[in-house]
Amino acid sequence: MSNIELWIIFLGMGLITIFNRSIFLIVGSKLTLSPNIHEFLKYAPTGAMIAIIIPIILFSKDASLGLYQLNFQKPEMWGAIAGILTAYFCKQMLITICVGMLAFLLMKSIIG
Amino acid sequence: MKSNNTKGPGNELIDGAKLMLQPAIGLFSWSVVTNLAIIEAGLNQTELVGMSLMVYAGTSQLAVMPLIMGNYPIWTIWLVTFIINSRFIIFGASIAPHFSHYKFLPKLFLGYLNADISFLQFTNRYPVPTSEKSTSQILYFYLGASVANWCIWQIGLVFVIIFGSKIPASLGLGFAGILVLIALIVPPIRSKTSLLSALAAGVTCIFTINLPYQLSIVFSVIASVVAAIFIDRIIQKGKHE
Repeated sequence: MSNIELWIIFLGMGLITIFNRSIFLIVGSKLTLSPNIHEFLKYAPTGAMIAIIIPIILFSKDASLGLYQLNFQKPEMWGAIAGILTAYFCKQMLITICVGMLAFLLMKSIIG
Repeated sequence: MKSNNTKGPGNELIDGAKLMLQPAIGLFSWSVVTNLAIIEAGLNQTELVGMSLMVYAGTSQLAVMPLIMGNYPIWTIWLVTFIINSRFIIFGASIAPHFSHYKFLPKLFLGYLNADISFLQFTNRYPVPTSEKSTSQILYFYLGASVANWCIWQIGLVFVIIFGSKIPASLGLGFAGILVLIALIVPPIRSKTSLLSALAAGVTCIFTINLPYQLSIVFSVIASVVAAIFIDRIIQKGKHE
């Protein structure tokens, strides 16, 4: 890809991203969402984050097929389980990170 | 009345920035790993800096690298960017009521700064609507958190530019960023509705993961909202009967 093309790609990506981030801030005051919709939209960010986390903890990408395949042998899965339990019961972010990383590195050294 | 209602802008900025103290290590590691991966995929340092300043959305930046290097049509790269970052449309809707009275350019700026971790921290603290603080206090608080998020991310980028190849991949630093996300989304899951909504998103993601253009993110978001609406209805019905 040529250099100019690359910068056009970045510019487009930047415009698309700032459009997504700002569109409701800009038109939001003209278009009033009912409190009901707001109530349910609060579940959406968690849904989006789950969709970002799951491919990393439960799937590996098959290089030849280019497809994701379930893999329950990933150290990331054990790290995530430890992290989820810690976050649920103790709610402390730093402890969650430490416990999750410990479990992840431990399983990584065992599973490889 | 609470004493913090008399706080000035400086205090609010600092209080907001303090929200990022705990996630800082994880966010920094996440930035280092993401930016390292982008460099390794083939961008030079100038291009990395340009991309990071213009886009400022690491997950999408990383995801498009194979497409850029594979000479895919530009529209597919933009479509993937739009889909991965479609979550920000909803993030924007969540903070919009706080900032409805500002002008166009300030709104663009506030939108540009709306990143995952500062957003989750901010809305966990100040769900809409809140009567706890005045609107200008909320503004400075938001700026404190989101500018701190921006700085931590770009410091990670500078770190990669300086140390680059000396960072060992075996440390698994990138996983720390995932743990930050887990630490942010798990504690608020306390009700039946939020638990089942999260499960719906997870199951949907598993079944849609091989759809093109990262569409699984869109379907998971829709599933989480639709599930919440249905479960809430069922619970309400149960109460009335």
